[in-house]
Amino acid sequence: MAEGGEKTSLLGGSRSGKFYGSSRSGQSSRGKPETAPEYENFGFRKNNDTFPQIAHNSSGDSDMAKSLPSNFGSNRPVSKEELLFNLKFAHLNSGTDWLSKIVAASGSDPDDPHICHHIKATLKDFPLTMSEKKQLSQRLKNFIETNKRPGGNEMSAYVSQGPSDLAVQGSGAKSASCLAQGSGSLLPSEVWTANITKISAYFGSYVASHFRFLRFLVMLNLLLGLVMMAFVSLPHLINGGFEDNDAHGGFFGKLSKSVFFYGAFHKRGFSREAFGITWSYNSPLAYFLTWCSVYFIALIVIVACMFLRYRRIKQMDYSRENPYSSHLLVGWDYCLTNKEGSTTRSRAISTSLKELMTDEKNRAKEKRLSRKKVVTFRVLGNLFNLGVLAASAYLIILVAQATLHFDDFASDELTDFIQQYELTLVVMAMKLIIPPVLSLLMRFEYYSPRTQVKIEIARTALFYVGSLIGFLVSTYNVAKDCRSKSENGTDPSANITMFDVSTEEPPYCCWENKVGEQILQLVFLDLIAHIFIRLGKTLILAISNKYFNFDRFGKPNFDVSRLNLDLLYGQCLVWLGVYFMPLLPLLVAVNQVIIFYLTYCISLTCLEPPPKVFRASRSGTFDLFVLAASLFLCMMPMGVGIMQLEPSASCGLYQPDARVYDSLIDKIGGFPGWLRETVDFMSTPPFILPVTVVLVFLVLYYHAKSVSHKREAENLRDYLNYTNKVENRRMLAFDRGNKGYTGSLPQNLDGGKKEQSVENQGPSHSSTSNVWLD
Amino acid sequence: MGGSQSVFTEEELDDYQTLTYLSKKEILHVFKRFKSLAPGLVEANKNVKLPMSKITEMPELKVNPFRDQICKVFSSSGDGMTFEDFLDMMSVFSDGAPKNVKVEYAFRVYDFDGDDLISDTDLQNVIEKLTGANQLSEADMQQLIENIMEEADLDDDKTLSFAEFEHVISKAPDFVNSFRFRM
Repeated sequence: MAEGGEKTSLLGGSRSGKFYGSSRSGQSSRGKPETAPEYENFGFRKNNDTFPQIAHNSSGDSDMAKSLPSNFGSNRPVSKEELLFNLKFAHLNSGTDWLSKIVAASGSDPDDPHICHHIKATLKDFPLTMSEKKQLSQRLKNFIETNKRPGGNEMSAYVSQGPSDLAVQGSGAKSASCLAQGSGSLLPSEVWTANITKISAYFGSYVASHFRFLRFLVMLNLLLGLVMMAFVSLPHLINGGFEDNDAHGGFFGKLSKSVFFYGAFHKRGFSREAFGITWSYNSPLAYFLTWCSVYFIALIVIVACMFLRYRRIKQMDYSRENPYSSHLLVGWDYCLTNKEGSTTRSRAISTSLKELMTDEKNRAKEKRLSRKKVVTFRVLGNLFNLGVLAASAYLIILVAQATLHFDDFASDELTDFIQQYELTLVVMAMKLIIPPVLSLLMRFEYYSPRTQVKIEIARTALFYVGSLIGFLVSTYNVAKDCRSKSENGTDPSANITMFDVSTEEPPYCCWENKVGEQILQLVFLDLIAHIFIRLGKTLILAISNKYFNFDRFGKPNFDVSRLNLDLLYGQCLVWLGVYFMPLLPLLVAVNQVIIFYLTYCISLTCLEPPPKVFRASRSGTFDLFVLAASLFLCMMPMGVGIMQLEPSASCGLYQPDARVYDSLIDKIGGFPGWLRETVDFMSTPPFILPVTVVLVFLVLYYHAKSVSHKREAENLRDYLNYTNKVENRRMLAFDRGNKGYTGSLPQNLDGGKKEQSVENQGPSHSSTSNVWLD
Repeated sequence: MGGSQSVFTEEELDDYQTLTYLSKKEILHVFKRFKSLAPGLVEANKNVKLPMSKITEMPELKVNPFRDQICKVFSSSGDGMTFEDFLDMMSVFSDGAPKNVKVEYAFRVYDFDGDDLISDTDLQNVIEKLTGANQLSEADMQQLIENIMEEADLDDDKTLSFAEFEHVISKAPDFVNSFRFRM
């Protein structure tokens, strides 16, 4: 009897106590001679059940279970199926003399006496107590001994099943459980599993998903950092050492000259002699290709993770269909042996149940306003958002270009300080102030809670990306001014730190370094602001709640979407800055580790579970989707900039007159003729346009197909539920009609109506999915 | 294993092996654990019936919210477990037991009043025991019970029969892994 995969046709009443109880308590002799031949497989049909069905009903597959034999107590010859069926419920009829029944059964069919052997071999499957089993086994053995038939060979086949059967079962079960435990995640992400489990027990899976997102980002950054390091920094270290003497120090002093920044890299490749072969390394090409591949790797990893997670959610379909039952009835893990594990588990179960129920309540809540009003509000809201975005971008550019003259009433150091930090401070302030304002105003747009969270996340992400791109552009504009200065000798408007070298040589002007420095500043400021604001706010709220019972500002709790957006901001900085600072991903990974532990400690000590418990997306892939979208958005300006802008003359790998991708083109120029022509052709419009059109068509086609599949699945599910209910009703009515039973009837006599309403509610359950401890 | 080998004859061990899902070695290991619950009593008589209070001190049962019910289900006499009952229990909770047997016993564990049906009160008991210290509110509990009945009770008799229970459980791939004791 292998486990797993058996299909049991579902039905109700046969084993229900009402029928059974009657036969147990009062042995009414309602002899029905026709029941014996009418018995079919009693619904508990297993795949490997060897006994054939006696008779078929017209309903084919879904068998009807009849009530148990009314004359159970008597010793009339029973059929094998009946006997096996009764044995299944042996625990309800303790004290019966099974041996006599078995004897009777084997006697009833003289051609096939092996029922004794079969039962003896599978005795462990029946719910008898151990002493009963031992007794019965002994008596069966004696019975078989005394009634040995001439055909002894057939019997031995039944007898010696024990050890081999057991071995097969055991190994099968063990391997199945091993496979079940090896549920995969894409990256090696076992690092913080214990912490995350604890969090999810306390706060639910929604909050835990934030930590999982953080862990994913850390792994991604480590991967990207390693790639950059391997192909860019290490060769440089091997060749030139840590610092570059040609470069000049910048904002970060010596660090700006080092391998951390773009400016330190040499212009051309280098070569080494080893093992008699000259190894040459084309640094410019390597840098460019590694930078491109970083983007592609990130994109592929994010999309693959989204895909796998989505598929994993779809596979665990049972929890979509019956979330409550599965959480309650299958929720407890009997393997737990320590106290803490069990308290965690019980807390997790209750949190997830509460989550499910709040989810359902929230979905039911929909504000009904007049349609026109809602639409106007929404249009206004969107326009307002766009306006805010444009205004903030303009503000950044303005601040970058203008100088604030504090000469009269501030010291030199202060002016210097402000000049250095003004841009980053402005960006940081905008990041902190504007999104809360925007989300406050979103209340007037009357979205449903689920959509509201999604739109809020999307808008804030857009705002972040927009402000960062604006920041980048304005920094570049300022930084490249030094080039005109170096040519003209005049002094343009204020810049960020610049060393004024008034010699015949053109002054050191490296805009890449300056932009990189600004981004690094922003990264550090972000981290500091994060720590202080988070710490400060939660500590103040927690203390005021605990000691002063000051509830005005609400209890400190988790705002998961806000935290995810903060992480997104950091990640965008990585993507924008990786060209200027090859090792930025590693640095940001370290930042994120710090933030993880900070958030973890704070949440376990001060915070309470969030009051609004619902997820922005069913499968948790919305965060990844926003991440991928922002990656895409960041790629565009960087790509355009790198392709079109002039590299610096005094630093870096590329010549000012050539473009960066010329290094790639030179390499391709070295390819054989046919390859070169193909590549040339691929970059021309006649190739690109048709390809784009074909891709768009493919997308539309697959979308249409998926929509129709989804609809079909819903229809099938409804139909399945409906047929099951119809069968059950028919069976119940048959039973009732058959026996003239006057016991307790099912409450709902208007079965039809309830059927309809439950049918209609069927699909509604399908949209809740609360993944169990992802 | 050396000491307990002499407690059972070869024939007895064979018998136990045919009647349970455990191997001989596992059976002896189970006996060792049974003995560790009350060494003195078991030394004296290997068929002694240990009271429920001693049985529930076993690590797996100690933290299990359903420990009393589990003991009740597997006890042959209703007020204590002999070694054979204990062996029965460990056999059902072992890796070798097939899914249908586990489902059968799971149903009996959740059926608190023993009437072969899972009714509202049974479900309420299950919820209370599962959530332990983090009790749901009364309204939440009622809502939860209603939801479960809606999902699982297909013949609308306000109770879950074994077939309905099995139907819900059999679709959960986790069940076999979670309904077991580690040896």
